[in-house]
Amino acid sequence: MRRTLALGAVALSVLGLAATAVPAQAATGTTTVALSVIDGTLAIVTTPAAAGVSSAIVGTGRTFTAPLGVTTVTDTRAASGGWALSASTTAFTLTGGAATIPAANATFSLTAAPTNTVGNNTYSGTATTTPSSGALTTATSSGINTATMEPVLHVAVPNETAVGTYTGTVTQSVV
Amino acid sequence: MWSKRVLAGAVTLAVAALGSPALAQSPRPVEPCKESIGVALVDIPKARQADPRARTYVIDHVEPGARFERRLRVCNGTTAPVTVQVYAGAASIDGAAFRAVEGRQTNELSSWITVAPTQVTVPAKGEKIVPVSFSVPVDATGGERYAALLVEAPAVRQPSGSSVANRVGVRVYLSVGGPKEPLSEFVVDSLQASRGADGRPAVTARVRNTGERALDMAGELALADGPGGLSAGPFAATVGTTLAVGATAPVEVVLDQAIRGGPWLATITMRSGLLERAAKASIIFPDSAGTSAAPVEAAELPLAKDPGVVIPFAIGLLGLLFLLLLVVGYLSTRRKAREKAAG
Repeated sequence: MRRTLALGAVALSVLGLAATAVPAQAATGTTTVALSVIDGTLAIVTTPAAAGVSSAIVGTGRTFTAPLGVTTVTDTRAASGGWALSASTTAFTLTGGAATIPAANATFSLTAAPTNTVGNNTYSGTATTTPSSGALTTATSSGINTATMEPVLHVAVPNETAVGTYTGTVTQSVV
Repeated sequence: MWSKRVLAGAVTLAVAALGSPALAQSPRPVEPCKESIGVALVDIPKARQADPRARTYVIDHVEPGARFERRLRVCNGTTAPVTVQVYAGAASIDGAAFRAVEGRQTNELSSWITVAPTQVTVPAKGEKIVPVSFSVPVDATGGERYAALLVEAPAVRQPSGSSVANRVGVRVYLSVGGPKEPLSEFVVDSLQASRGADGRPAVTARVRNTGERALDMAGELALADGPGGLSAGPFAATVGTTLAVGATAPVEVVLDQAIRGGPWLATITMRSGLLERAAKASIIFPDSAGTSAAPVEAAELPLAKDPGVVIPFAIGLLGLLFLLLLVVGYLSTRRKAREKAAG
């Protein structure tokens, strides 16, 4: 009886020491050994803005404003540390011509702070208009969350701009 | 001797796991990508599996010349197949947030990363595994670098005439240096009590990164010794603050509307991955909405626990103590028995 108890104590102490030894080994940070995990994802989608939005502006020296639809970010990563959404644009090129409106003339904003459809995110940096390449918002949440927001593109059209249709591509990034 | 053998066993197990044809099978998703394009990291280093940051981002420390592989899981929650571009792009820590540099810009770290294939068609409501290999040059200088593994969906034309493309990424924080990983460390400099425009009390902790690696802050705040001896909390700190090396940034904790002015003894516990630090300060919330009290210098608190090392060590010590007691008990019983026999 007593011998069994003693044996149990030995096993216990060895386990304890072994567990101590593993983090010490971990400190060297080997990357050759990887473990596969199944985690949720960070995902993004944009649904187009409602049809019928006017995209034409008359005259130059004005600011063109275009809604970019509804962007939904879903974060189902178990150990999420939040996410940051940013946007940028290419230059806007005249259809059938060589004229461009530089990307630097563009700014972005959100119509309002993102709406939480899942989770209780808070957001920072949503009130400001961001330059042509910059942050839209940073979500500060841990836990599964889904948020929707409506980014808007503003393009200052220079006075000497040639008349026509200009197109560009906006890229939203979430990490 | 014993611990070494157990450790060797653990390493063998880990290597065997790597050698198994894990690449061939695609893991089942826990949560599907609902009507969107999503990405997740599949592989994490065995040594960092307890670190929540390493589960979400590629976080590693390697020596120059190191080569390693990671896999991305790209999922398509839409009802049509989507062809995405997968590539490594430049990233930076800017304004206390980790950001993918806009456009297809590259940096030193992204140039060490190869994604193959770069163009992947993900079936409707399906997913694809994309391997990513890292190859650090032999002459790489030390330090931490940032990049993002990006999945770019094709641009969708909006009624306004502009096209919108979406990218979603996995962050990469890669440290290069000698065999010893650089220190991660931070200090909570001060706590500042305030009341938001809506009257909700909040505490802003100023956190300073004093280590050699970037940090992603999380944590919580507890209040004690308040009016009438009340305690409150813990309240979770807002996440999303990424501290560059040497940077100082505020981390906010929003509290409950019912919290009265004080004074309170505020204890904040902040962490980045497995690194945890605590600090305390006596704070008083201002009465009027939209105002802040002066920041109060925070005193560092010794941590009660370091679960990674202290608990197993304590169990080990307790085990040894128990063993010693048993031996002593056995010996004294034997002596008593012998004395009895002699007497």
